[in-house]
Amino acid sequence: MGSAGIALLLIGYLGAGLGLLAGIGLVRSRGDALRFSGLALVSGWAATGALLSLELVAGLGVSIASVVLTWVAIGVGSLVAARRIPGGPTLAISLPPDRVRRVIVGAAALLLALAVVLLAARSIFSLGGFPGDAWNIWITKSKIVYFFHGLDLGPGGLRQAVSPDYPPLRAAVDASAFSFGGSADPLFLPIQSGIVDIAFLGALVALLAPAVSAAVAVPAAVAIAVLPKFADFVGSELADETVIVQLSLACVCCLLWLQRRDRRLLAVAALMLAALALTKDEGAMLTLSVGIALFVAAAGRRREALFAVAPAAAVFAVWRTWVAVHHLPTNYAYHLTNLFHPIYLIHQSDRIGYGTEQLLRETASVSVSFVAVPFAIAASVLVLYRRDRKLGLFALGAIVLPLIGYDLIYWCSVVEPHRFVDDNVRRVTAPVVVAAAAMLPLLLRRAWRPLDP
Amino acid sequence: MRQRNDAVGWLVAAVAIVLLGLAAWHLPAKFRSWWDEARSGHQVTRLQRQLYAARVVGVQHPEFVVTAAKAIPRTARYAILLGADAKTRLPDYRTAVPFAVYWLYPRRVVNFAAPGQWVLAFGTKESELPDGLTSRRELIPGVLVARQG
Repeated sequence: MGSAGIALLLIGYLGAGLGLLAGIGLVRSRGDALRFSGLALVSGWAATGALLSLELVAGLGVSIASVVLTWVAIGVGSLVAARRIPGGPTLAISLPPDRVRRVIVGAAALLLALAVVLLAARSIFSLGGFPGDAWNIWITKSKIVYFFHGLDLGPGGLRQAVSPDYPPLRAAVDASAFSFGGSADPLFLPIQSGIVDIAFLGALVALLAPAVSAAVAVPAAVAIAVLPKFADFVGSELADETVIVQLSLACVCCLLWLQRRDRRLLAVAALMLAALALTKDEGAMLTLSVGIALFVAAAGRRREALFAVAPAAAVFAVWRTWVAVHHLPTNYAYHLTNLFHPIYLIHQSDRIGYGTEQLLRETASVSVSFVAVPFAIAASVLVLYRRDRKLGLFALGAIVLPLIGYDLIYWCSVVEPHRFVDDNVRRVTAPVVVAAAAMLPLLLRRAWRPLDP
Repeated sequence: MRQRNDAVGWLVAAVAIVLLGLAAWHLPAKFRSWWDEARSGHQVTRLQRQLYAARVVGVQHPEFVVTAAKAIPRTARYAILLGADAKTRLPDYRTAVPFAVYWLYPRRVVNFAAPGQWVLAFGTKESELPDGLTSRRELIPGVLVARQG
């Protein structure tokens, strides 16, 4: 089917996502559907990927039939949910009343449209210059799932792949693209992931604009589109590209839930965190970081906060059980059990200084990170100063805890520190930087207008 | 109190201006590079694009994987042989070998080639090759594909 098949797959994700959002009460009209089409596409893709991952663990394969059946299951589940869950208030985007801000929105919207067209063209006509890890780890696993009809452990299968214990969401969605495209052509993959990344920008505008005004949300989306920590990963086929989208949307939805008490957004965050835990081992660490930040910040609503991380914990436990049952080798680069060996840690103490230095350099960089992380931390402190403990604590935790997590991984790693950190730090900081940039408009707005609800 | 609020307001405005300024500064170069990449991708063949990932990591003649895929049947199994000369004859073998494995799916890579299975040899001397190889074919200097008889 070629590229037409990929277009059908993306339409399927959009349909499944609209069903999901209708099920939780976020989409209840044509206007809602149009406004949240970006979030719907990302949600449909994340839900399909998460369910296909569980199907893979259950011994099934990925094919057109399995993807369509997964969409049917999402549709039926959403229909049942939609009958029980009442729709909430509409998260409408209104144009600013004054002319200056309308001009800002118009100009930023034009730039965003241009960015979207160029990113789409770059994804469709991708040169295919994927980084080594992309084809050696992620696309290889997708080929195993596609050609051998599941998580094959025979010769040339998952056991012989690099990092076989990494969760299978990326392989599941890429194998879906191969199935709909009709062959294991890696050039189908940037089309899928590029459109999901573009939808992510649309999702950010739809989520941020009702809270901070379109005059802030649209320029912020343009800034994120050209942020090197986002743009350089679009169509890279690294799992970090996926993690950027999932972590950023989870953080923004959690922040909005804390601000507006809108459970529909907590449900979206729960979906993104579950998908995140099924994408990378480090995804579980990021999920845990967001979970801890949310639990600490959500005083009085901690039971609801647990709902956001419970699905992620459950699906990650399922995956790790499968890995243990099949005796797959675990990550060679680091062993978290080393964190409980004080003598080992003392012996490795020089790593923590080097790791911290590199993490700070990457996240505070002007050229690749637009100083988004230091600005978001400063904005969180300002929000705390404005006596909004919930927002300030969550944002601070969601940004700082992952960095501490990565530093601990560097500390307990068994690979030569310069080789491991230098190879790794550029990629792993990208989701934290983009998440910080995505939360920044909400934080600045809160710091600017302390008395607004 | 009002003065403090104003100060915070100015701080917030400064952060927003710096961020948007950085984005505006990067915007033209980013747009141009995306356009150039899309145009370059449009101008080359699909096969060149599929092989470009190997060139990025320094594989000099990635075309050998296409010939190898024609030689080894899709349902066959094959083993990789690394010769003593691999390092000197093929300076890019560290990336060429995993790229070949990635490209050759759904052919299954095995540790040793049994009779009827295939061998993809990198930098091997004649004396290092197993006996009874048939259908021998040199893909590029230093890389050989053959069937174990």
